[in-house]
Amino acid sequence: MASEAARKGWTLKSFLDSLTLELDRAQETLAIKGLTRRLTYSVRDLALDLQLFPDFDGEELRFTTAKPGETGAARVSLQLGSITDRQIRETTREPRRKDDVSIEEVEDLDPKVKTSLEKIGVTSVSDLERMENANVDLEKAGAEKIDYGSLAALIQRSKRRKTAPKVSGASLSDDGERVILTISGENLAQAQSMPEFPRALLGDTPLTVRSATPASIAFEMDASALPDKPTALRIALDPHAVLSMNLVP
Amino acid sequence: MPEIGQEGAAVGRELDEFRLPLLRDVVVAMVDVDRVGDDLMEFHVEELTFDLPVELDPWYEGDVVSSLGASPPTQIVATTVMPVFHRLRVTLAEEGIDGGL
Repeated sequence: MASEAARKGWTLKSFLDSLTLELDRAQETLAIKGLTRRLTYSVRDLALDLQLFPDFDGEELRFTTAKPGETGAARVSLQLGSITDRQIRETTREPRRKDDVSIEEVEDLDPKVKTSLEKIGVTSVSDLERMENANVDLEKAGAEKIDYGSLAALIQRSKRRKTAPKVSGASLSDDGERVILTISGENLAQAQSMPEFPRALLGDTPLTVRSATPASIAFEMDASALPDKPTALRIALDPHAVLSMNLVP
Repeated sequence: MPEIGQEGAAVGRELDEFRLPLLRDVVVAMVDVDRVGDDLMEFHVEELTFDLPVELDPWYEGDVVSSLGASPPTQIVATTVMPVFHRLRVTLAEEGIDGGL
């Protein structure tokens, strides 16, 4: 049985948005194919003749797609311009980088916001950052109402999941004055724009950060602060990544 | 989808779950054509037009169309009630030959 939405029909704008989205996606796929071999043909034009039933309720013109057995449908024709190899190269965004996060991957983001972002061509976090740098008001461009604060947090969380921290070792050294605890690994300190991170607690004692890079983090402390029994070391690398380990004397 | 009786409800649900492939995949498959003949003196295909009946399956999110499913006819045997066939025309042009815009 047809869904409520299918029975209610769609507006021409919503249909055209989805049609252009389909063709944009086809263009992205062709751009990726074009990286490995030159495309011989490109789409010069595309036309659709649709069998539809229009319905005007006094405010909005909506269409329903003709269903099997229904007769007397109106014919609506659409003609869309071309996608050429040259256009693909010139106008299509570069294929997504490995470290980029697609909007689809951002968990907990309202599906309506995802769809509206995709329809205005924002399909990845780097697109979103580009728009932000260009000072584009996405809501005015047709996106759903967006809470940028929570969106940024959701994006950072998704990004962090993609580049999860890995610890490969921990060592203690002495520079003559203080004891240096170094944690090494991958994707450790990544919040250079947040000076309050990383932060660490050895037991209940906050540690001073000496240096922090993605490959290692060094903390310094007085020798007297070294625990004489197994003690929990908790390191907040950024708001989305916390490492917990036991330091055993 | 036509209205169906109570005994057809289960079948109706199954049919509702059947989705056509996305239009983007159909278009990409159409463009994926290799040029025949390497010798520039040979005749070769400069333009290709697909003009075919298609079934359409709008995917909804709320009351807006989020994606478009499309497929060449899934049924070619004539029955009393046939699927509705819309029409899709796609013209492919050889790259570099008065391509598109």
